[in-house]
Amino acid sequence: MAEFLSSIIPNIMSKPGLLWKAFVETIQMLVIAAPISFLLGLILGVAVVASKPNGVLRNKWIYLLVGKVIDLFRSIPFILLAIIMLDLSRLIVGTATGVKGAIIPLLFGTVPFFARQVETAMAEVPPGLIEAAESMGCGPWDILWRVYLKESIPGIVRGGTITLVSLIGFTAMAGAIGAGGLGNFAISYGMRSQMDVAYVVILIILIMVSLLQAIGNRAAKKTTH
Amino acid sequence: MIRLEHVSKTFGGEAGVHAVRDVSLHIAPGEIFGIIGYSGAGKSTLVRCMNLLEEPTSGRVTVDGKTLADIPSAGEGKALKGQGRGAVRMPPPQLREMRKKMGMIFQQFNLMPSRTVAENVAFPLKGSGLSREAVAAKMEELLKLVDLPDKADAYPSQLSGGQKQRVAIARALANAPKVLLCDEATSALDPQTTQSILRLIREINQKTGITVVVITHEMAVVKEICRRVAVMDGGRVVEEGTVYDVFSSPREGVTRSFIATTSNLSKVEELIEASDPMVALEPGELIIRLSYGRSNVSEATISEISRRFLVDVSILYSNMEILDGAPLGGVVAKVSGEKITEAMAYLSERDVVVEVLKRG
Repeated sequence: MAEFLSSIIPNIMSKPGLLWKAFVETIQMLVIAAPISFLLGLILGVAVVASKPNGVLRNKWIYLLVGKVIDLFRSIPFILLAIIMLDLSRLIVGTATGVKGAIIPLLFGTVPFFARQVETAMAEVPPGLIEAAESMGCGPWDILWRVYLKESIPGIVRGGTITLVSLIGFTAMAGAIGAGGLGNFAISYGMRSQMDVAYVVILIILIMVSLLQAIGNRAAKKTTH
Repeated sequence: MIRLEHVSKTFGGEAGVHAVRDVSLHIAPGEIFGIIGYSGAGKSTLVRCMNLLEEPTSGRVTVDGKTLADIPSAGEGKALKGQGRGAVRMPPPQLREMRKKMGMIFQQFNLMPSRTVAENVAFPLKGSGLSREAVAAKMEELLKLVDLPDKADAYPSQLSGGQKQRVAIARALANAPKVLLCDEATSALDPQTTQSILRLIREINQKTGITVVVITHEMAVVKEICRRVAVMDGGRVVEEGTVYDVFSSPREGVTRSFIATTSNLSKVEELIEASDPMVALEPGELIIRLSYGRSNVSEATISEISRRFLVDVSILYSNMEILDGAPLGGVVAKVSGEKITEAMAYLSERDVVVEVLKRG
């Protein structure tokens, strides 16, 4: 077996430790960035929905400001975003490299994306439900929490899955500028014509994405009644 | 219970849509009040002015003796600027408490799809300070009231339209409100289910004395449960009174057209329009419509005139119904004979309204 593997993926078999280390780094980036992105994206998404012109806490300035900031960061390709975040990353977490240095760019990449996903999910809540809640004497926070968020859980789960998938993609790109992880591993050896390394990394990422998507679909289905 | 004074609602500024124009209504405690009108007549906006889901552009809304909003019209505001008559709005926390005392049900039911029937019914009870057990007991009682005791754990998507509306009624009643606003509550239901929902609303009204406002475009709904009715057209209330008075002697065209939807007495006009052979007349023959009221519907007026005045009466249509406990009816007939004029005068004397629809 080992012999067979060595014949088809020689460059992996010569450094299994490095592959493992890269895998762990990717998982670390996901585990740190995903929950923070989730929380911040949720807050921004809710802020947009609440402050929109017909929202329950309508506020023209917050709506414009948050919307524009989201659009700004969504329009910057991640690879450029990662580069312009280097200084900010040094300022906030003290480094711009490694797993730690990747977190800030990853957040700037995923939070606006997820915020829009949350907004879309919440926009699908029928206005009649909001009106019904108002007629029952619910206040704006009650409506946001008990109607908007509660009713858009399946949509948020779906949006969250999409965001996680793109976050995996971002971790790979972050690897290109020195963040470590599977992307870094594949790029540094792939560039040296060790194409088997790139293929194995693609395979691993493919499995991760498929697994996430399956779990996400299941969760969305379970929360839809 | 609910008093609207000169309420107007305009969407989109002065040049916008005048959904409600200068409506004044008083709805008494414990009554079932109907507001009927075609779509676009402004009735849904009007009912939303009652619980301030829509704030009137001007006018005063009082519920249970408390002023929810009192907003001077633009003209008034200018004229009285010196005297400082400003807009009065109930502050949001109090307004929310008022709304808890005003249940509302909707055409599309508006149940929360991610919550079970039990959770939907308990939804408005959050923050009421009731214990878990008390909420559960209340919920059980409400589901029994709407005759769905075994559906507590079902999701709305598993229910029929009528069942959904029953759950919505239970939810609207959770805070023991004094008012129930029904916005086209039966318009998405079939006639039989409509009947059962209306029966339920009447039962609740009789049992609890709750004031009910019914918004509808269906004459049958008003006839079924309302005692008083307002007819809306173009944002105004064009007619108002007891259901019997309004529909026995309609003043406005729109009221007549609603009556026509549940009575066949106006069908003859279509036949006349189309020169149908059924309404072809010999010279001297007439087609007349007789409308009866409370006092004379049970009298044998037709056999009387044919005996006394030797006229032949051949009945084309006849319709009789009970409105608010009193009979209302009419006959469309072809008549011929020497003494038609005398016969018609005799009928008029007996308070039967006689209209000549066609002369031969």
